[in-house]
Amino acid sequence: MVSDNELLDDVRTVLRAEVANVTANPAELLASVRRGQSRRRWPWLVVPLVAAAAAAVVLVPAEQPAAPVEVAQVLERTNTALDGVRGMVIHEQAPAGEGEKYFEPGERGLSERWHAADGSAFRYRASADGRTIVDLSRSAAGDVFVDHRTRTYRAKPGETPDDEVWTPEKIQKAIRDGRITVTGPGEPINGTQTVRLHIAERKAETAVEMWVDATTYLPMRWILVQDGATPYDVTWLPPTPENLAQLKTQIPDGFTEVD
Amino acid sequence: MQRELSADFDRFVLDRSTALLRTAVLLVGDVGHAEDILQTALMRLATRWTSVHTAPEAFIRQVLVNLARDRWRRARRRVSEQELTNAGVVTGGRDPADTVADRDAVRRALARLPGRQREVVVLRFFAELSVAETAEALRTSEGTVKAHTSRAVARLRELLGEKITENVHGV
Repeated sequence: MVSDNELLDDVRTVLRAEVANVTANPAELLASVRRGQSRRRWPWLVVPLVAAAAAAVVLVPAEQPAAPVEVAQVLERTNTALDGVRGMVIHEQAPAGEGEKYFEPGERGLSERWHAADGSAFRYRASADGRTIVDLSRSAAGDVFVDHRTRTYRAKPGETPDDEVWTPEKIQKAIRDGRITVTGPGEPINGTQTVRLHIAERKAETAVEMWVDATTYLPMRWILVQDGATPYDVTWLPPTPENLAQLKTQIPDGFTEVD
Repeated sequence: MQRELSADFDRFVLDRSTALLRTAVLLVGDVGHAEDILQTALMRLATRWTSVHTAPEAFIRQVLVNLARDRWRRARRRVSEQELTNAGVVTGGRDPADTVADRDAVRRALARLPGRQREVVVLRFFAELSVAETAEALRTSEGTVKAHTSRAVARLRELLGEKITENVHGV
């Protein structure tokens, strides 16, 4: 006779198996919550958003056979997905090497950047062979520059950085302004299907190619459209204390302050 | 302060949304409706975050259960309870004395449990809630939860073609 405990163990196993393949999309859920809140506050904002998505239809280059409705959907979903990551930390990384600032001739390594998704803080770290070369951060709390080669650092009062980072808000504004076009399916990134977008240049801003995840519609990679530009792979980090701490450069013990 | 609360809300959604969605799927029976009720529940949580942020999971479980019940009520108005009234004995033609129950049979038996019993089973044995937590989620007494658990086990045995054993139900 099967005991109650054995039967209940089977019940657990069956219930877990029933939903083992079910996974939530937290970015989309967060976006829908924020969208719902903003609708309650400013219902009239929905109109320009829909209008912007509709306007984007006409921006498909003539030689692109993509269906217009798909273009509008991609931009609308990208816009929605970005609502869900406004509080997150953007992490970018790209291989770096000769000719790039902070790297010596023949040296190859990694450039990493962290941004608060609202643009209020920025950090850059260059490393080679797993060792940090330079680590700097900027925010209203203070600017820090640490040179690990000379074991020195500079610190001064800071201000909100004015960097060329594609924050969710900035991308959404580009969608509203009709500057983003869908140029077709992108190549897979780490096995994930992507959609490729193009952000047109404007004034002093260089054009950008962007790949968004074809499922979540969050940006996964971007590159400036200019000679010698390096594509940066993008990760959206939840605002945990550990991830928020990544936005600030730490000054190692024993380093000397210089002017 | 608002920013901190917002970050906490985001973290809660990031950490818990898959587990909550799975519970919702088991309560309503399909992924699409589960996604809908989870989204609605999160909206309600967001509007009440200031007052419930110390125990958001307890709050959202209550909302999910209520929304799942609303859905069942609406479904019952539309169609007859064929699933329940036609529930027959599921036997695998094997001697259940020496082995654990056939899992496909268990799955079918679980689908035929009455709503309250299935809620209790999902919350206690999938979400791994205590009797007290389950009672809070269902807004009922611990005694009722124990009774539903006991009846659910008995009903499962009946559907699986076994005799009810004298045993501790872990309640």
